[in-house]
Formats: sequence, C-alpha cells, structure tokens
Amino acid sequence: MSHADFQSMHRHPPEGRDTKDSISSWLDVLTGMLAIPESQRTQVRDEFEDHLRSRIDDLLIVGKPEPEAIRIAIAELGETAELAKLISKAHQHAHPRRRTMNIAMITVAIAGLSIGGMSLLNNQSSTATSPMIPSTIPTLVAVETRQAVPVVDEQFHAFDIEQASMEEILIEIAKAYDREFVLSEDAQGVGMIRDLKDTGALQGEYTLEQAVDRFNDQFRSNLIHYMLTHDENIVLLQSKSEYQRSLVEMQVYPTPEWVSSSTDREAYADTIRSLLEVKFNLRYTSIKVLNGALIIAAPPSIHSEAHRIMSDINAVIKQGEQQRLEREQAEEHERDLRRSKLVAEIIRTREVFRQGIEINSERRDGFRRKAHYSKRALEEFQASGNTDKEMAQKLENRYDGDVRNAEMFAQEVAEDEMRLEYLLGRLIESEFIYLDDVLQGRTLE
Amino acid sequence: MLTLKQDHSELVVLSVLAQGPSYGYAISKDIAARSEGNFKLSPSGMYPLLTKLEKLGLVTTNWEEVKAAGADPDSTGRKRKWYTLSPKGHKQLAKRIELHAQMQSILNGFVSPTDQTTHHGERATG
Repeated sequence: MSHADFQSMHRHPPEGRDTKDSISSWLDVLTGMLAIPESQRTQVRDEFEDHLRSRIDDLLIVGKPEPEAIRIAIAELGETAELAKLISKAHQHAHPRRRTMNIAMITVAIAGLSIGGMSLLNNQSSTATSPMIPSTIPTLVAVETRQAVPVVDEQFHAFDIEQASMEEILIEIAKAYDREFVLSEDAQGVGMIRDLKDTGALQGEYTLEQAVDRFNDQFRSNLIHYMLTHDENIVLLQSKSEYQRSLVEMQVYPTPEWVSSSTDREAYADTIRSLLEVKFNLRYTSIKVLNGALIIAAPPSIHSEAHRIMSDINAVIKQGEQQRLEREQAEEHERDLRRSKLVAEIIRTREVFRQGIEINSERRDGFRRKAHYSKRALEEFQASGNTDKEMAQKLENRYDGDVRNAEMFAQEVAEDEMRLEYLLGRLIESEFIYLDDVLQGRTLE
Repeated sequence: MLTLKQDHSELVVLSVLAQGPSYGYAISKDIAARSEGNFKLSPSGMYPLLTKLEKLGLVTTNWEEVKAAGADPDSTGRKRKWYTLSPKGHKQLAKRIELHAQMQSILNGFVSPTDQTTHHGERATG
C-alpha cells in the first residue's frame, strides 16, 4: 500500500505549532548547512519535508504520540551536518570526473581554507603559496590483475612497490584508483615525504581504503601530525590541523526571541560555549554574537551538538513560558470570577440601599404629609377657641410624633444615600474603576 | 539488518524504480519491504544517490503537490519529488544486472568445487 493510500485512509493529524516549529527548525538548520545554490536548496528542503511528514504520518498510524513521532523521524535522518555534507557533495560531484577542474577547485579550496581559517579562527599564519601538484611521472606502474572480473563492489588493485619514497607510494595509490595525489600546504614543508627514499613498500591487493590504511600504518611514526584522506577525486596528505580546519563550517543561528538584550545574547552564547566545552575540544570552534544572530564556525559534530543544545534550551524555556502563560491565564480567570462575584454583590447591595431609600423616602413623605395635616388640625383647634386641654395635648402629641417620624425616616434615607455614595465612591476609586459604567447604571438601568 | 553499500544501493534503487515511478520515502519503504526488512537504505545514503542518478540522467524527476486528507482544499500542500527511470537508466540497470549475474557465476565457481569435494569425500568414506 502506498503512502498516498495511507493518507487517504487516515485523517491527517493537525499540524500544531510545535510540530511546525520542530520540523521547520530542523529543515532550516539542514538547508542552512547546504553548500548548494538557493534553488536547489529549496528543492532539498521540500523533499526532506515530504520525507519527514510521510514518516511522521506512518508513525502516528502505528500509535506513536506526535512528539515522539517527530523525534524518531528526525533522529532517523542521522547527524544533520553529515547529511548536509553528503547532499552538498552529491550536488557538486554528480558529474563524471573532470580532473583538471577538480585540481583547480582543490587548489582554490585549500587556499580558501587558510584564509577562512585565519579570519574565523585566528589560527597561526601560513605562507599563501598554492599547493603543489606533483609533477613527477610515476616510475612504478600498478598492475591490474583482475581486469576480466567485473567490479561491482570495490576496486582491488595489486601493488608491487619496493624501496620507494612516501611520495612515490602515494602517487601510485592515487593513480591506481584514478585519483590525483595532492600535498597540502602544511605537508609540502615535510621534506621526508620526498627525501626519505627507498624506505617504503606496498605489496599486495588492496581497495583504496585498505591501501590508505596500509600507508598510514607504515608511516605512522614519521607522519604523526599528518594524515592521509581521500574522496572520489583526490588522495590528500595534510596536517591534522588542516584536516580539522577543513571540517569547519560556518553556520548562522538566530538567537531565540526570549533572549532580548545584548547582555542576554552574550550570556546565551557563553552558555552554549560552556556546555559544548564539557564534551568537545573547541580549538577549531568560534562562537560569536552579532545583533540577533549567533555565528558558529565549527566542525559538523559540534554544529549538531550546538543545535541540539539550543533546541533543548529553547524547548525548556518555551515550556516554562507556556506554563507561566497558563498560570497567568488561570489567575486572570480567577480574578474575573472574583470580579464577577463582587459586581453581583455590589449590584445586590446597591439594590438593597435603593429599595431602602425608596421605602424610607415614602415613609418620610407620608409622615411629612401627616405632620402637615396634624399641624393644620392643631392650628384649627387652637383658632376655634375650644378649651379642651386634653384634645389640644392629643393633637399636639400627634403633630410632634409625625414630625419625629418624618425626621427619623429622612435621617434613614440620608444615611442610606451616604452609604450608597460612599460605596460607589470607594469602588470607583479602587481597582474596580472600570466598573464605573456598571455602577453608574448604564448596563443595569 | 544489512546496510547497503553504494554499488548495491544503486542496483537496488534502479530495480525499485523499474517497477514504476516513486518518491524518496516510498523507495526506502519498498526496499525494506522487498528485502523483508533485511536491507536498509538510510536517508543519508538514498537522497545523495538519487541526486547522483538524476545528474547522470538515469532518472527523471517531477514535482507533485500533496495535500493531507481533510486539509483545506484552498491551502497549499507540501511538494513531493517523483523519480522515474529514464531509458538511459533502464540500460544502466540491464548492465548492472548482467554484471551482477557474472559476479554470481564467478563466485559460484569457487563455491561449487567445495561442494563436490565434500560429496566425493562422503562417497569415499561411505
């Protein structure tokens, strides 16, 4: 069943922010490390995004949780820097060999390395002469004994070299596997490579790998600070220092958004440097901060570790931020609840006061009316000339009682009005000033 | 599980593509399935190899937009790179198969006499 069939059967999982971040972040790092033109870089990115998402889909189908599926899919791609190197190499060297061009490219590359090494790493200076391509014609010829055998796996060559210098052996090895022999700038200064004549031998059938191992075994004590490497075009003798520098790649990483000030960025770079120092020798590593960018010049293994450390730190910080955000949201929700309760309480209290004021105002007015009539009755009685003192006293008492009651309820109303005013005033002055509209009744009226 | 060497990888990938066009992830799954899980071609081996095959003209490529089931029809999908064996690739595959057969035949030449010796020995003692 093809992957497309799988996809049509199973609903694609939602691509959350974390998913997008992890995959995009990894793709950013990969494409950032590619030494190929921009158009090809985009295509490589698209192809690896398809690979990752297809793999993640399959892992989700078999029940892996999404974060684990992402982690597995990315881990299966191996070391990012190594992968980037292989892809870049495939794009650069996929043509049949063009020897002249390759030599020229190597010359430029080695010269460039010295310059790059000095500017980036502040290494020891070197005299900028171009590496010498051996001009001597080999005197010993490799004998191919298996020409009739189809070479499917690795080429074997038979060597029968005796009493030769290191250089002569190396030229023979390179020639046997259709490669150029190159002495690096540092290696050119090692006189014994040519001068120690008649000291070496190489006899027997070897693959290139084996022949190089054999050479290294034979001359290990002479070339303790040098090493022999090869790729599909050259066999290169270089110093270990040059080899380390040749591995150095420069990569620009954005500093995370939570690292805001320049002091923080320096501290962030120091942290990365300190953590890397625990595991690696940083002799060929430089970490610099420039505005929002962290620039690292280092071998691929250090890039991979730096990327992993930065991703982990970022993930932990983001998780912490997420937790803080969730806590703040919970607190905000709690505050909202308390505010809602308080508002409800205020409204209820305000209604109690208003009702009290209303009722007591009616009572006050009622007694005032009664006082008005009882006063008139008393005045009319006094004007009538009636001498019934008991009646006069009764009317007077009634009037006084009405006046007192009216004053009492007026007092009640005034106090309630003061309380209401005090309550509203206090609330408006306080943090609940935003409730002004509510309290002033626009919502409630 | 065996990790495929480069030359074997090329033969295996060309053979997979001889069955029809495919894309990176499907090719790696196909290899694992057809070898019953015995062969594994890592992404770091496969994608550079596919690039090499493309540059050598052994495969042709085209892009397809893939949308997840249930995705918004107006949204942009991801891109998938399809590989198809070219006529040159078919020729190269035929050549590789022939070389493979020759190699097997030569190796059998070493293996068979041993078998015969064993049989003779058995007869002699029996």
